Amino acid sequence: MIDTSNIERVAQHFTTQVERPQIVGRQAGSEAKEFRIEKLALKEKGYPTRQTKALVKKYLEKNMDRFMAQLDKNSIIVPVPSGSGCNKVTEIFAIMLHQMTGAQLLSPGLIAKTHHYEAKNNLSLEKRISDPIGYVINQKEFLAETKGKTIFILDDLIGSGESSVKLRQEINRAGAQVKGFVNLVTVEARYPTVGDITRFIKKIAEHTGDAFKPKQLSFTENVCLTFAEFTRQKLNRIEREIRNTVTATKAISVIEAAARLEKKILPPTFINYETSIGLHSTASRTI
Amino acid sequence: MKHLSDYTAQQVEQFEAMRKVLEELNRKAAESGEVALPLPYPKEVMAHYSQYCQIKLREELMKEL
Repeated sequence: MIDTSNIERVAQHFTTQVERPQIVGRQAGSEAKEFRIEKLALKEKGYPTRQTKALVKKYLEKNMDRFMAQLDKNSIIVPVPSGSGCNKVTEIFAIMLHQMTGAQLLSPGLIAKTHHYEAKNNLSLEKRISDPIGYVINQKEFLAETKGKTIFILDDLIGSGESSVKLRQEINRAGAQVKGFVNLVTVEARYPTVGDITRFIKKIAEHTGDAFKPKQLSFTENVCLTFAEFTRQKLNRIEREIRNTVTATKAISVIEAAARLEKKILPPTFINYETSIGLHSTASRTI
Repeated sequence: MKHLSDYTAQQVEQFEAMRKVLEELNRKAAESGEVALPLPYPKEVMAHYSQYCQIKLREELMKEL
């Protein structure tokens, strides 16, 4: 039996201290699956504009009241850069939202994506660590465009929130704050609670027994580092995989690796990276 | 702000060649659940490519929408 009071104290600290922008869209439920199917069908046709716009309009209308309540001419929409550059859904969503609400739209190319894969719902945490999400921001122009504006990060879909959270972290490093995440489809609108984190750690402890006890506090910190800023989906996904000692032990090592990534100081190539077109990363982040 | 017209024909050709390679890798990753490593291009090049794609897409869509 583990002592959960320490876990709860650490989890409480993290869940209240980390930045958790408001997730503006309503939880989509079964519509998320429908959306993914429709989007994939369009992707296979190369995202014809008229049909893609119709798809965006269909889901935009479901959340329009929430978007109108949050976005106005004092806001600025920051779309998450797409993987191959051909995800028109996010870009059309951004343009339509800009036209409907009067919110400014960030100029293209001020934020660049440096990782390879597109966020996929079938990629495990372990596999995502191998190609971590990264962005670089043209800090000077970004701050100039967003000055005095309320920033909303926009993506077509939010699941674990990894793309949006990583972008939010980079924007923070650039010296700006993000108010909310705006999504056409919201698979998960909730962040992990102290109860979620405690339950997860208890499950790990049940499967690993006495071997776990000495690590309990540091592991709690690692769980919080790995999951606290993201939606509950990220935690739920790995929790579902824990069934016995083997899978629990594997989860511990994956989470420790993920936490190291969250704490890592950026390598010099990022810190000093500059180009003639002005892209550079911002200061390193340490915890 | 950078525009599509700021890129040379050679740069456009290189980026479009990159697009084909990355699309194929993403397709395989979607099928297999495996991320293709090592990455075929350094991160600095990926950043330039990302910038080009965004600018191209925005300009195309602003004309169409």
